[in-house]
Amino acid sequence: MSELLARFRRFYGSHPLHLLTMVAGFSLAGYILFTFNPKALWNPHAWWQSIAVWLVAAVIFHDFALFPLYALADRLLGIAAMRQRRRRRGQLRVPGRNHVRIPTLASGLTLLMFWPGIVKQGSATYSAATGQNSAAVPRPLAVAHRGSVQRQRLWLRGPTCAGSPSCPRRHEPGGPRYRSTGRHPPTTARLHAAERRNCRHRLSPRPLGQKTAPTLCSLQGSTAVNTVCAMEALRECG
Amino acid sequence: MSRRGVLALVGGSALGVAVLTAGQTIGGITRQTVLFLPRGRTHNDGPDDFPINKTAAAAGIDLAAIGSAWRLTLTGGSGPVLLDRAALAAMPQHTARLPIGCVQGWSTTQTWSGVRLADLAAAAGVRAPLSARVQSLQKIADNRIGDYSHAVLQANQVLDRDAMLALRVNGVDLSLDHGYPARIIVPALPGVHNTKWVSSIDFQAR
Repeated sequence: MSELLARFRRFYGSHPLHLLTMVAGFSLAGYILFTFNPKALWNPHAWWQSIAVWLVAAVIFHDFALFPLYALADRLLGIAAMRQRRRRRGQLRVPGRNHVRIPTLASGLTLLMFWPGIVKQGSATYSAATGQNSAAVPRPLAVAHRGSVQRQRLWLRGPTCAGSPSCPRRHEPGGPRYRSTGRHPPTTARLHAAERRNCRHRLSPRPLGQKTAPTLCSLQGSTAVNTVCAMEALRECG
Repeated sequence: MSRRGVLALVGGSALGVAVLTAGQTIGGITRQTVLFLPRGRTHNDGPDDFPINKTAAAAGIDLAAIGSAWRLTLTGGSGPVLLDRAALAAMPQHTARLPIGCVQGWSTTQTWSGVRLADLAAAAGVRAPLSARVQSLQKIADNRIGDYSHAVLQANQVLDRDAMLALRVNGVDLSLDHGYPARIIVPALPGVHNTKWVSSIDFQAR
């Protein structure tokens, strides 16, 4: 079987699943071309409900209005992230702005998905078919959005506990620097040297007790978080 | 953001959307994962608490037509037979636990009781019906979804021992939205053909 697979690979250049995917993709595209009808792009009853209109509007509105807007927002975020990095003296395990980008994406996606329900679109049909009134926005939706905003605010206020011991870790395999440059993992000696350098750099201006500046720890006040933060503080450079 | 990060983000988003929506289809306890949509709602308390696919209001049911003036008209025999609800209730009652499988995607199994369609055919004077055309009071829909104000039942559906014109469900009279004064319930018949608010049944003799 593996002999057959190897022969197929030699002949075709990739796994059979690749061929299957390609055939499926081309079949679908071919089917669309076969059944395509220019009339389908235009709705004579409501011009603004035409596929053609939405396509052109999306190109104009997205590429010329939305894209510059969120590119600008991301640029501003980049400036904030740079400041954050400088304050923290070292790279984060997760790039700082992703703490804003990802919650924004998640809450934007859910907002878009559940928007028809929020504005009660089609509520007449809903009540005609079920005998129930169109539901109000479920509470969890509001809670989820508040949660994502909270996450971003925490990040903007200062370093989190999870990120604080990040400076020695950036050289670890899988860390951001290792991943982005694609270099081989550094040797242990180099790692230690880097760690010493970082620690000297970090420790010199501050007294020993404050070396991690765990803002989240002071914010939270929970025993578990405090313990973790204390342990991290002890472990570092120690 | 690294390429791996983008892939993880897209994959994670797709997974999240699946968790937030799939419970609607799977049902049961997974329905609780559909955080942002209504769930665990009841239709009304008591024996009528199961779904419908059209309200009496949406079907344009005239309350005067289903009150004391309501009569079931049976045709196909030598002459039309008119029965009021009391007369139907006086006939032999049959009880069966049967499902409604709705084209909307839900199904529900309830205990129905009413008069067997075979008995109604006999009352109309049709011994061996070939088919039966059931007419509802609901207004005729002129939309693309189709007109379900009437349905035609075949001989095997009329003569099935559980096929009936239901007057009651779970021990109480049908509610208005469930088809009061009477509705059709036939085993293994799509929900839309279990006609509600029945006004007449026309039996075709063999």
